[in-house]
Amino acid sequence: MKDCSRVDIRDMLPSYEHGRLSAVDRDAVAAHLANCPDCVTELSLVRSAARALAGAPAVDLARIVAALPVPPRRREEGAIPIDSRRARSRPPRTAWASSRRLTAIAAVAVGAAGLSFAVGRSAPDRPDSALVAGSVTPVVGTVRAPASPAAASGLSSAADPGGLIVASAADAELSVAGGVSDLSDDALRSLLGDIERIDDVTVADPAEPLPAVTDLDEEGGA
Amino acid sequence: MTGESPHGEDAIDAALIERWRGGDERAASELVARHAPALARFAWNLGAREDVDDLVQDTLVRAFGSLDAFRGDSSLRTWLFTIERRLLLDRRRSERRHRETVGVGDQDVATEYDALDDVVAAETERRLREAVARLTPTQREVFSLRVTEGLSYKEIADVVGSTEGAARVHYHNAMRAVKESLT
Repeated sequence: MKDCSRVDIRDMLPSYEHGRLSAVDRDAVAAHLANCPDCVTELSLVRSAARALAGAPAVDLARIVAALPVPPRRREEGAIPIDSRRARSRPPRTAWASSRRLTAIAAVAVGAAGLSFAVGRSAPDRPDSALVAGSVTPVVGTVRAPASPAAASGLSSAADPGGLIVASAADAELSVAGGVSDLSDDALRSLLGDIERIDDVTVADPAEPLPAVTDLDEEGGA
Repeated sequence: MTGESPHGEDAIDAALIERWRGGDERAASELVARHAPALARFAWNLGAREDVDDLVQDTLVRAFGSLDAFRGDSSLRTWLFTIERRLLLDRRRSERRHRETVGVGDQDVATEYDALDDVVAAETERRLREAVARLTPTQREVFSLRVTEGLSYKEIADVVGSTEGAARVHYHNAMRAVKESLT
């Protein structure tokens, strides 16, 4: 078998066979084949080789598909939404003096380093710096709840039916971090009530921008 | 010459990949059906036998597990061939180490192809297979990809980790050797 001197045509014979040439190239090859028995022989050899080398056994497609990983979207959909997960895992309510609530109180009260409640309402004699220095990071996120009676001292929470309620250290020198044992019974009940209502609220994603601190005076807070 | 025309198959593959990413598992079945036979042929032509099924499965599982890494610079099939070739080479290295350990002799490539006589229909095809079996491994890869799959030299170069020019040289050397075997 001789090799045609047109290497460019011989280069294209397999692509011609597989229909992968542009129209221009396909026509050029076809025109050459009409006058070149050596290229006709080589094209025939390409076809025979393709048949000869196509003798692989059939593979089990169903088995392969079954072994494939789950699509990314399906993996994401498999995640349990936070709300429903929290709803399912919420323990039954027990007496407010339960150890769980006491633990929650301690967590709220003590907090981590640098945690503080945003002061939603400033007492007249409190400067703006009553916004506790360093951070305005609500430990418990935002809460919607009806007003609770103001405590004689210590913590109070202001009602804001339309917006945010932020546990505030209103008048007292006492900071939440100071000592839960300093709270009156009424203040303690109020705090526990707020904590219970917090369970109903989706915890904000820390990555999301924090809600603005509202001026409760303007909104007629308690 | 204007060269090879754009492959519409790439657009089909791209659409199926997007459907799969969106959660449509039927798209995976379609992709497997489109490419598994070619992967089986390639593996077979590179000498794989009993493990063709496993090799094709491993290739596709790996590919689907890292579809995020597939940028579409090459065709999907080229990318799959690249993965399969790497897997096959790893297996061969492992088998070679095992043979060296237990003292099993290397199999003659021509002997492997003798077993194909039962399946061969035509004498010419049998002789062709023998001729291909006597090619160097790289020539065999390049020749197989060029004649059975119609891959361009650029695509072949991507699969075997070579250059377009080298792929062209390997193909023509293989074709010359095959012609000489048949005369």
